[in-house]
Amino acid sequence: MNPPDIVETRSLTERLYLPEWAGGWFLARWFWVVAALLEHAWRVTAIEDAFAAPDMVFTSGAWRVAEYITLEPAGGYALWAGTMLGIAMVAWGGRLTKLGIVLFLVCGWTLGAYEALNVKAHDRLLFWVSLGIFFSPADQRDLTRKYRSPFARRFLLLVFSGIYGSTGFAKAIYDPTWFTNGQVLGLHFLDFRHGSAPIAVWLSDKTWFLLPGAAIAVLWEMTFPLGIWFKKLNPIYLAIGLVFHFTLLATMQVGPFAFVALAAYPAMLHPEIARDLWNRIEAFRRSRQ
Amino acid sequence: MPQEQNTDNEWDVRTTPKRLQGVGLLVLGGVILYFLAGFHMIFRDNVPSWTALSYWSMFTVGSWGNSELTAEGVFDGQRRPIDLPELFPSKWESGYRYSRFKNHKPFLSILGASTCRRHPDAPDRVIFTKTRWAKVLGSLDRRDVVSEVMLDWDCKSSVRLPGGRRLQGTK
Repeated sequence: MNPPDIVETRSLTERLYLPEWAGGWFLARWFWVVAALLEHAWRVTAIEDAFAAPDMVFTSGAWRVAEYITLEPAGGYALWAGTMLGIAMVAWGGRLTKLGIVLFLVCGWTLGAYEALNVKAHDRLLFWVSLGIFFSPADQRDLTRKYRSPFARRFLLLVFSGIYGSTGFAKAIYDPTWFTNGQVLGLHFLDFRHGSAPIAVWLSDKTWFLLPGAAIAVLWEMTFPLGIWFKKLNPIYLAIGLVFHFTLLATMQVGPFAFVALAAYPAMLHPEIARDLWNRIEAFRRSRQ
Repeated sequence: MPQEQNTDNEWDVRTTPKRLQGVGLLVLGGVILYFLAGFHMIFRDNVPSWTALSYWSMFTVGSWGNSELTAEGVFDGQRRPIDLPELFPSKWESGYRYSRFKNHKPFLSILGASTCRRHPDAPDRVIFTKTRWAKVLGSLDRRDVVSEVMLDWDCKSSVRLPGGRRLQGTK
């Protein structure tokens, strides 16, 4: 199937909104379901001890829900059930998708913000990815035959540029050893909770791994906000991102961060590259029939 | 505006309605500014809470120290260890919930009162100790181990919870 002839326009705004192939959003929706389940399903085991405990009640930083409401375990279980229902609605797709995202965000964040002490980076990242899914055409069927607005993809590209860029520049500014001996990575590998896995302990004094690993990671983070926007560099940056996140997953305890980031990657892949990849997959499947 | 054209196999082509395109650009601009604000706040004092979703500092600097929190109870004058993970089993990748803020006395007070309530043998006092040590690259050895009592909590005391409620150490 040949792509549609989209007549070029003159206005800058109209050029910024030229429709893009929407097939990547199908995969993004399903990766989001997996990430959201990994993020939230286990919480049912911690309702009475943590999320709606009658005694260990805290507020911390921005998370001050406990100042205004008191959550009993029954309420905690109800909020968890609402979160799961939201995820199920997104999995079902179609018209339930956006409502499911809203239900997921309201219930999941009420529960998490009430707990207050453990709103993790991957919780916040999933918030942003959820917004991207909400703005996207992921609720529509037959996306591989559709061209849609580039807004949601650009939203996610900016969010990830902000996240990777912030953390990369902060590393370069506040600890130059990321580029001199990589020792900071070794120290993180020995963190009492996040680290200390056998592979991480073994790597923690291996400069041949630490120095290039640390330097490449930080350079990738710092240049992501620029490189990701160029068609030829886009898949390279995403491929490095996959290696980065899953190496961290293999060596440290960082929760489901890799899966949350992965949920956005199919949508962030340049749509023309994504479409060509889809066409190759379809051609291969047809050749096998 | 892009034009739809039917080919042999029809594509469905649509984009953001014109009336919303300006709004969309403002949203994207807002995202950029929001993350710039979050970056500006990294490692500053008094970070405003509205940057909570754009403040992104992950494993930024290295730390040569590790620490853990342990507890002992005083039961009829006898001191013995308390298994905190058994009383507070919820765990994240960053560790047990009870050890989240080892240096924060108000949080430790809530932990103290909760420990008094949850322990089946109802201690008279609970003593929290923070043990810290220096890392040794290439191993899990602990160097320069130092222990410090962070809180000695009387179970007859009460502590303020968020929302103005009070938590009594004894039921």
